[in-house]
Amino acid sequence: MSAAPRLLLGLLLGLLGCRGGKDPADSARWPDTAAGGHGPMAEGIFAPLGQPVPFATDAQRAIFDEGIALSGHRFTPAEGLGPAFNLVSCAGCHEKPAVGGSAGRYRNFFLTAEITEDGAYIPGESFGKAGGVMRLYTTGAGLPPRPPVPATTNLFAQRNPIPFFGVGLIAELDQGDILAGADPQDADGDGISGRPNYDRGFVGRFGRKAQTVSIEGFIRGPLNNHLGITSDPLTEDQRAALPVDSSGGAAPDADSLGARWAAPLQPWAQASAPDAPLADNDAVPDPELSGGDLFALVSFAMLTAPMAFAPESTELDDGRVIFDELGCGDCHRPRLMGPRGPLPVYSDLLLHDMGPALADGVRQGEADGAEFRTQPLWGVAAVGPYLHDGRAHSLDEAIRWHGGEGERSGRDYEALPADEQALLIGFLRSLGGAEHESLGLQAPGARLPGVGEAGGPTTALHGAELEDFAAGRLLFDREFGASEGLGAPRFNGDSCRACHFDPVPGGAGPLDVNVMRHGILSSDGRYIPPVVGSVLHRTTSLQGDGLRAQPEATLFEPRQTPTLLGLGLIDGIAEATIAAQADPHDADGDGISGEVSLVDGGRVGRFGWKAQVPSVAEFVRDALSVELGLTLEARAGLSFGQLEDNDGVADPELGPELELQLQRYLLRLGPPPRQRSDDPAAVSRGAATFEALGCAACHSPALEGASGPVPLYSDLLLHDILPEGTVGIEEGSAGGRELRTPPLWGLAHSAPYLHDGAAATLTAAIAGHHGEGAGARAAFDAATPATQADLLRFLETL
Amino acid sequence: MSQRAAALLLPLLLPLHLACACAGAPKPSPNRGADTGPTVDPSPDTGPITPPDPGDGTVSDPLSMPLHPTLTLDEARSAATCASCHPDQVRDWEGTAHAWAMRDPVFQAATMLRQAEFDGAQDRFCLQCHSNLGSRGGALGPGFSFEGLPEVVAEGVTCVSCHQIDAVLRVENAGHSLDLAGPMRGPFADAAATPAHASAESALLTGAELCGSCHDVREINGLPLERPYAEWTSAPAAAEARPCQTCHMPAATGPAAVGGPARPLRQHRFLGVSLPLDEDGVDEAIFNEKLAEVEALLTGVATLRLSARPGSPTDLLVTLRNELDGHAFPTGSTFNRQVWLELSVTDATGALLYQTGDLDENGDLRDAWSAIDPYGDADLIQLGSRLTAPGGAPNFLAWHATEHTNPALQPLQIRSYTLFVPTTADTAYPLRVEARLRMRAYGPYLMRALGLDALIDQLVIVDIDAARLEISAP
Repeated sequence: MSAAPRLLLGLLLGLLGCRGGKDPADSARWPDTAAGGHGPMAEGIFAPLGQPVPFATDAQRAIFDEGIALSGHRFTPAEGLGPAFNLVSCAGCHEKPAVGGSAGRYRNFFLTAEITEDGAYIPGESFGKAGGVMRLYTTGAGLPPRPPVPATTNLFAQRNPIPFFGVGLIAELDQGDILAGADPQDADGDGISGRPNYDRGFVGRFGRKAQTVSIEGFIRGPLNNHLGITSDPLTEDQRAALPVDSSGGAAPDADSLGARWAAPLQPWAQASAPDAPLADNDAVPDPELSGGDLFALVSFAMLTAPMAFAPESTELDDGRVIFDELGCGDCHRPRLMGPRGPLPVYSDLLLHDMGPALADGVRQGEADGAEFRTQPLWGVAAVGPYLHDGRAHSLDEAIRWHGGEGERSGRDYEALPADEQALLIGFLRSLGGAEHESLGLQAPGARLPGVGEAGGPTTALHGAELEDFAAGRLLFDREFGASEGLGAPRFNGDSCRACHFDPVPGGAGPLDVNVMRHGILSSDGRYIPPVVGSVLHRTTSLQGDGLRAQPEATLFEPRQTPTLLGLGLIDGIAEATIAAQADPHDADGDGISGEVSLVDGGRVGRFGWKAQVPSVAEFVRDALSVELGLTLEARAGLSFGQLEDNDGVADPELGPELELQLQRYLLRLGPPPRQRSDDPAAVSRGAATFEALGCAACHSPALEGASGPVPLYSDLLLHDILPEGTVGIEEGSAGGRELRTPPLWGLAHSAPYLHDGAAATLTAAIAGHHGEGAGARAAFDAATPATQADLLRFLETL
Repeated sequence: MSQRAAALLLPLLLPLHLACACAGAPKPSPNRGADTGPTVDPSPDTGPITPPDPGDGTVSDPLSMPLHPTLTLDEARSAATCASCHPDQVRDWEGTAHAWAMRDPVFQAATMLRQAEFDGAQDRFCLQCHSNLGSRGGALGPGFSFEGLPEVVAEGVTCVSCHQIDAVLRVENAGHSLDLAGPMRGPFADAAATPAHASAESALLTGAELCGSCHDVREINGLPLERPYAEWTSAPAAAEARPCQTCHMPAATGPAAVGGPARPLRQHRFLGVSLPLDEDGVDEAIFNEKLAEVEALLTGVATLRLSARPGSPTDLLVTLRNELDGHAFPTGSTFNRQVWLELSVTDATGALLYQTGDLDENGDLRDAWSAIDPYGDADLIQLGSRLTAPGGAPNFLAWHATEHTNPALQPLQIRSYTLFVPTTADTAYPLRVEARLRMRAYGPYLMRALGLDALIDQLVIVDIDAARLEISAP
C-alpha cells in the first residue's frame, strides 16, 4: 500500500491553505456513498456507551447482559481466584468510562521477561507461567503474600488496560485489507513501514502489539494471567455460535446457528482460540469458569459497540485537514474495509517502530521491543490515559510521545500553533466518547448523594459549602498524570478513588487494590523496614523500573483499603476520649489491654490499620504523598507528607488549595448509612449478642464526638490481635501483632475483612481474631448457630 | 590511593555497567532522520549557547560544565594571593569543607570510581561545584587526575569561587556565573580602594541564593541529592530573612583587610559537620579546632526525649525534634551522613535487656552495610538518607540510584518512634534507659568500600543530645 499520495495531497492542501468545508482528499479516497462529514462509514455500528451493536438480536442482547454482569463479578478464592492474581474482576481493569474501556494508571500491570546473555527472550514467571504478567497478590494461606519475582528477571514493562469497544467489528475484518496496508520495507519511502503481527498463522489484530487474533483468547488469557481463573476452550459449536463466528472447522449448518448474527459475514475470520485447557494449582477444580460463562463473556466483548462520532462541523473539518497534513492517517488509517462497509477504526492494525522513548523491550510474536500496533482512535476521548503504559495523561501528551515512524508527525504537531493543535485534538475528540470524558471515573453531571446516602455529606450543605463538597468529590475522583507529578516516583493509585470506591467514592476497596507492606527479617527474627519504607508500591512513573522489593525483603503483608466514610466524625473525637478507654496493663483483668497510639509529638493516632495517623489533615497528606506520590508544601504542625521527589515535576506538585479542599471534603463526608434488615428482632438480638460475647470490649459501639456520639464500633486503640509468633509490620506505636480496632460501620460494603483482606466473610473475619480477640472468638464459636446468625444479621446492618 | 579504590571495585561494577549499556542502547529506528530538512548552524553571535555534542555521553552544561573552557585559570587569584591582605579570612577558610572540597579523600575516591565507570564522561558532574574554576577553566576534563592540578583548582571552593560570582542563574548544580575579569565582590558598599583589585558591593554575597547555587544538587537523572537551599526556602528562617550566612558565617568585628578599619563582618568558617580527612594526617591544631567547632555546632541541634509505657513488652517512646528552623536535620550529603539513636536498657541487676544503635566490631552500625551483622539491628533509628538502585537494593553511589529516601527531620519537626523492650512479668524493675543521638560524617563501611581503610581511625562520632530514663514496675 502506499500512504504517500494521501500524505502528499494533505500537504498540498495544507500549503494551499485549504481549510474548511468538506475535505476533498477524503472523497478522492473513498466513494462518497455514506452520509456524514466523517466520510463514508458502515451504517448502524455505533451505540450509546455500554450498549451492544444496534444489529444485535434479542438473544444476543440477552447474552450481552449476561456477559456484562459477569465482567463485573468479583471472583473470590472459593470460586477459583488465584492462587496468584492482579484483579478480582474484568471490569476492574476495563472500567473507563464504562465496562469495556480502559482504566487509570493504578491498574497498570507489569510484563516481565528475562533476556539472556545470548539474546533469548523468556517471558518472566510470576508464581507460575502467566504470559510474562507479573502478579501482585496471592490468595491463600501457606502462600507468600506476594508472588516472588525471579532474580533473573531483567525486563520490566508496564501496560495500561486496553479498551475493547468495537472489537467484534474489528474481528469481522478480512485480514487481506490489513495486509494491504503493510509496507514492511517502506517501499514507498514515506518513512512508515507497517508490518503485520501473526497469531498462529492469522494476522494479529488485538493487543498493544497485535499479538492476538482471537477474542476468546484475549479473554481466556487475561482471566488466567490476571485473575487466576482457568477455563477450557469453547467448543466448536460454541465458537460457531458466537456473534463473530470463530469456529475453525467446516461452516456450520445454517439452521444450527442459534444466536448467531443474522448474516454471518466472515466465517473463519477469527482464528481458533488456544485449544489447551488451562489449569492452576489452587483448591478449586479446573476449569474455574464454565463454558457457558466464557461464551457470555466472549459474546459480550464481540457485541460491545463503539461510541458514535460527533456531528460534523467546520472545526472538525479543519482538524481533519491537520490530521491529514501531519500524516497521522498513514498509520491511523481512517477506515478499514469490513463486511459492513468502511469501518472508521482509525488504525491500520499494523506494527510500527515507535522509537526509543516508547520502546519497552517486550517481544510478542513478530513485534520487537520498539514496535506497537497502531491504537484504534474511535472512542479515544473517553479512554485515557494513553499509550501502552498510560504515560500520556492527555491526547496532546500522547501525540508528543510519538517517535520512530511517528517522529515526524509528533514533531510537526509540536511545531503547530496552539490553535491548530487544538483543532487536531478537537477532531480526535469527535471520534466518539467526548461526552463521557472525565478527569476520573465520575460521569459528567453525576448526581451528588444527599445526607444519609453513602457518599453524601454528614449534614445538609448549601451554597458555597455544597459546591465545595462537590468539587472535593471531583478532586477525590480525579486521576493525576505523570506530568502533574504522579509518583514519587512510585505510587499505588493515580487518584484517591483508585482505592476507595466501594460502594461509592470514599468507600473501601476490594482485594485487588490492597496496599502491600514489606520488610526484612533481622537475624533474630524481628521486623526491619526496607530502605524505601514499608510500602511496596504497585507501580511507578519511571519507565522500566521493576519495583522489585529490596532483595533482602522476605516479609510481605497486604493491607486492605478501609472506608473513609465518616472520617470527619472520627476526627472530631477528643484525644482524651480515646485515651480514657486505654487499659494498657489490663487493670480490669478482662484480657483486653487497649493502648493509645502515640504519634509525633505525643498526638493520639486514630486512622490507619496501625492507628499511625492522628488526623484527617495528616491522613490527606500521608495518602497524597505515599499512595499517589504527589509532593506537598510544608505546613506548620503537620509531620506527614513528602516535600520533594525525583519525578522531574517541580515540587510541590499539589498546592495547599487542593490539599485543603480534599481535607474539607473528607471532613464533611458522611458516615456509612445503616442497612435495613427484614428481621429487626434478629438484629436487636444480635446487638445484645455483640455485647454479650465481648465484641464491644474493643469495638466500642460509640465514642463521644464533637457533636454527639459517633457510632463507629471501635475504641481506636491498638490491640494485640494476631496469632502468637506472627512477625508483622511495625509502625509507630503499633508492634508487629498490634492493630487498631477497625471501625465496623460500613461493614456491609467493605468486604473483604481484616487488615490483609484475608477474610472474605464476616465469619472468617471473626475466626481471624487472636490474642486479645481470642476470648470473643471463642465465645462466638461456643454460641448456638441461631445466636451466631443473629450476630451476623446485626453486623450486616452496620 | 584513589586509583587503587577504583581498581578494587571495578570488577564489581563492570557487570552492572555492561547491563546499563545494553539497556540504554535502543534499537535504531529505521526511519529516523529520513527527511528532517536542512540543518542550520546557530549563529555564534545571536544563537543560544549550545554546547557541541561530542556524542559520547559526556555530561555538560553550558554554564557549569562547558565542553570548552569559558574562563582562563591564569586570571583566577589563589587563596594564597588573597591571604596577603585577608589573612584572617583565609585562616578561617583553611580546614573548612570549602577548602577541602578537592582534597577530601572520600570525594576523590568516589570521583575516581565514577571516572572509571563512565570512562571520564561524567567526571565533571561533581566537580562543577567542588571546583567551579577548574570545571569552567578546562583543568578538569574527562579523565583528569587529582594530581598536579593548578593551585587555584586544588583549593576547591576558594575565595574567587564566591567573590567573583556575578549572577545566580539557577539555584542548583553550580548555577552561578563567574566574572574573573570583574571586581572582587563583597557585602561592603564602602570598600577601601586597593591596587590589588577593583571592589564592588554585591547583594549576592549576603543572600542564600549564592550558597544555594551549589548547596542544592540533583543527579544527572534528576534525583534530588542535597537540598539545603530548597529546605531553607520553606523554613521559618527564610520567612524571617535569615539566610545561610547568619549561622554558617558567624558575625564578628574586625578589619576586612590588613590595615583596614574594624567593622562588622562575617567569619569565613563555613560551619558544618565535616572534619578534614587526610591520609597523611591533618595538622593537629586545625583538626582540633574544627572538631571543637563541629561539636559546638551539633550539640543540641536536635533533641531527644524518652517516655515509657511499661508492660509486656514495654513501649519506649523516643521523640526527636529538629531544633533548627533553617533546614532539615541532617542536611547536605545526607546519603553519607550517619545520625542515629544509641539506646540501651538495663534491668535492676544491670543486665542488658535491649540495645539499638551499637556498633559492630568494624565500627559500623548493624544496618544494611554491616559486614559482620547485616540487618542485625532491627530497630535502628537512622536519620541519614538512603539511595537505592533500580533493583531495590541499597547503593551508596549516587549515580547508581533511582530513589533517594530521606528520613531527615524537617525544620522544627517532631517525630516519635516506639521501641519495644522485651519485658515480662519476671523482669527486675526498675529499668534504666540510656540514650544518645549521635552523628558522624561517614561510616567505616564507606571508607572500606572506597579503599580508605587507613582513614577509619580519623572518623569522629559527635553526640548531639543524650537522655536517661528510669522505668518503674507497671
